[in-house]
Amino acid sequence: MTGTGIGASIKRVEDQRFLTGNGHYTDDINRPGQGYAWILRSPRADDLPNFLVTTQSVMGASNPLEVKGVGEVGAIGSPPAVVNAILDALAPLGVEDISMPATPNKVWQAIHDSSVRQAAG
Amino acid sequence: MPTVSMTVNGKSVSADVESRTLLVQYLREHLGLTGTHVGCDTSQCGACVVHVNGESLKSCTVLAAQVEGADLTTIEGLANGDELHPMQEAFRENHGLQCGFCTPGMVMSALDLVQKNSDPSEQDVREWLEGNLCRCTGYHNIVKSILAGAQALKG
Repeated sequence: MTGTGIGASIKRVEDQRFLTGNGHYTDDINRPGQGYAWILRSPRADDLPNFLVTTQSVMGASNPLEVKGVGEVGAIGSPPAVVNAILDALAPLGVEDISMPATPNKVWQAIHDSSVRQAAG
Repeated sequence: MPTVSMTVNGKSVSADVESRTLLVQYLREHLGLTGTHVGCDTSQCGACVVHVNGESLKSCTVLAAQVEGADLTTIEGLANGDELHPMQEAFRENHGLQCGFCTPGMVMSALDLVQKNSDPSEQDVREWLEGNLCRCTGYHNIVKSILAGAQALKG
């Protein structure tokens, strides 16, 4: 695909400042009395203090499975939302499941299969 | 505190700094040139690349005092007013950036490549970029941008 679509080049207005060093990131914000975290390098390996690593699991409160999303947050909510939207649209045809990636071919196949089922009664 | 003087983007600057001040801190905190970024603080990511006497250098790797008297160019020194430098324009044209954090380092590093090799191959560009990390777009469009920028600079 050329011209338009996901992955196509678009001239963005914000690029002017990003490209000229005028973008502002959290590192560039300095509030009065702000705290800073720095990497403190150790001159010798054995100067490292002892430390203990533990994990503390806390169940999620927002859903019946008590699970939480991790990783790229933007990639967690959107795929189920897209799949749910497709299933919602195809519900009248009796389509109940579609696996990702929901390619045009898969959606077509699901519609086709449902009409075959319906024709078969 | 030692006084450190240098030329940055054509302007003479001078400041009293603690001797442990890194060049990138000098640029960002003393000169307010925050276009040069600190991504990793450990010389891996290349977001802090500037030119020192014409050569690219990771500014978090050297002390400000080590470049006393040098001639520096940072990302802020490339554009001519609103007119982007051809390499910056190539990044814009080819969507060579998303969040833009690694971009100043990418552009400064790319310019050093092009001045050493005015007609780099895709392989040359990819190998050159081993010291510059991007966490958004992947390198495809960055490589494309640099190749286009190199051609634009050849004229």
